[in-house]
Amino acid sequence: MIPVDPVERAATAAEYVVGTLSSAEHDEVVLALPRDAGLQQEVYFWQDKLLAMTRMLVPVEPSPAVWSRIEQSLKKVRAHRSAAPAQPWWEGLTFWRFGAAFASVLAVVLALQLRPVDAPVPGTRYLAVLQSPDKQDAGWIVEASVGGKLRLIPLGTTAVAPQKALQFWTKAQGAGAPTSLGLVPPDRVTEIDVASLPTLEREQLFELTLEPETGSPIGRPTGPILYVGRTVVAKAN
Amino acid sequence: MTTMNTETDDLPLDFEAALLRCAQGDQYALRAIYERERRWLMATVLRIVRRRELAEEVLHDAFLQIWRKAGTYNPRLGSARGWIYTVVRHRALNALRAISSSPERDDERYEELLEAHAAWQSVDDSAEKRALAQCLERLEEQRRQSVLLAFVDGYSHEQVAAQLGAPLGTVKSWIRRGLIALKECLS
Repeated sequence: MIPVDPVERAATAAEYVVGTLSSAEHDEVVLALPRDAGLQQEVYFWQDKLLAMTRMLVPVEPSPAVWSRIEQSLKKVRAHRSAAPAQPWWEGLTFWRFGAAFASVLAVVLALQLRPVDAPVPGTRYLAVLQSPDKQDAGWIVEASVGGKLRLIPLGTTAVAPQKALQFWTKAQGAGAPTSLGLVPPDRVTEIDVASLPTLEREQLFELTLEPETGSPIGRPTGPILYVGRTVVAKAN
Repeated sequence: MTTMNTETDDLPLDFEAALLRCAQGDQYALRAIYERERRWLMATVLRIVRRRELAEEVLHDAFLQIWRKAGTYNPRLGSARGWIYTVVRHRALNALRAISSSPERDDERYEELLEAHAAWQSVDDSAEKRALAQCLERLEEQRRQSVLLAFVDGYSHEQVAAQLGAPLGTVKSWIRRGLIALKECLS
């Protein structure tokens, strides 16, 4: 958890900028930042205050090929951005797969797009965008309504090595350990009864980890986190 | 590593405006940032990942990330350069953590760092730099060295512990308490 005490919070922000947090702590900061203005302020403070230290080194000229490669890659990004129509709606989200802080914006976009047309009066709906821990890539969407189904929707196909499987987990705020929601296919929508979740609330963590083919042998994650995210409430009109 | 080189520092670039233009899809703005800062960023990344080829790959990936994430930069909270260095350093740290084997002591590299720090301290440029140098100077030696190793070399707690021959828990506390003391001094 990100500390509440202001001094410790500042220290966590500093360690985030410096890069000495564990990857789990680092991810927690990344997930909290878009919605925590105080923490953002601390992070900006540190990145400015420590900046002068980058001038201890003697400059090094990168090879001219680096910029050419950046330019080439930018073309691909642009091609992706403009290729949205004629594709399933989630393919059009390519642009959004990249940005960390876009998650909440994406949630709003999805809230508009995902609402079933002929749904009965909906219960509170929750959405989570599951991103890779380095925030490079959003791979899955979790959508769930109180009293209904949870749907885990892939935005692409997650690569899974032979003899390995994807295991789906959730952890409520303050819960000691995640609860397994079972193994899931890497390329299809999975539906789960919300009644079988321990809870469904805002800021609830969902994650996919890479586990042995038959699932984690010990009932909690043993492999690396591939995608992780927390729920937000989807606004109903 | 010797003293600072300031030859490109006189070229004016409004980094904040450039980064905001990136968010609007202006590729020239990204190019301007690259041209102005590439050699310093390359030095930062190369020091962390050590291999030139990997450093260039990191620089490439980091600039794509700057392009994609530019919209999340908030000019009211701090400088665009600070934001850019965080993106680039974190990218380099990711690469380093992915290739790291067991932490090893490297005294030659450590000497270089201490020399670079000493040379840096003696150059009197910006007010921010002076404040940081003075506050670092006030830290207990081991705390200061831990912070330098973590920031400049991108060392993990384990690597700092191996370099300084200190227990892991002690190093964690040196870094964290060092940063807390630094904040008090800088605020």
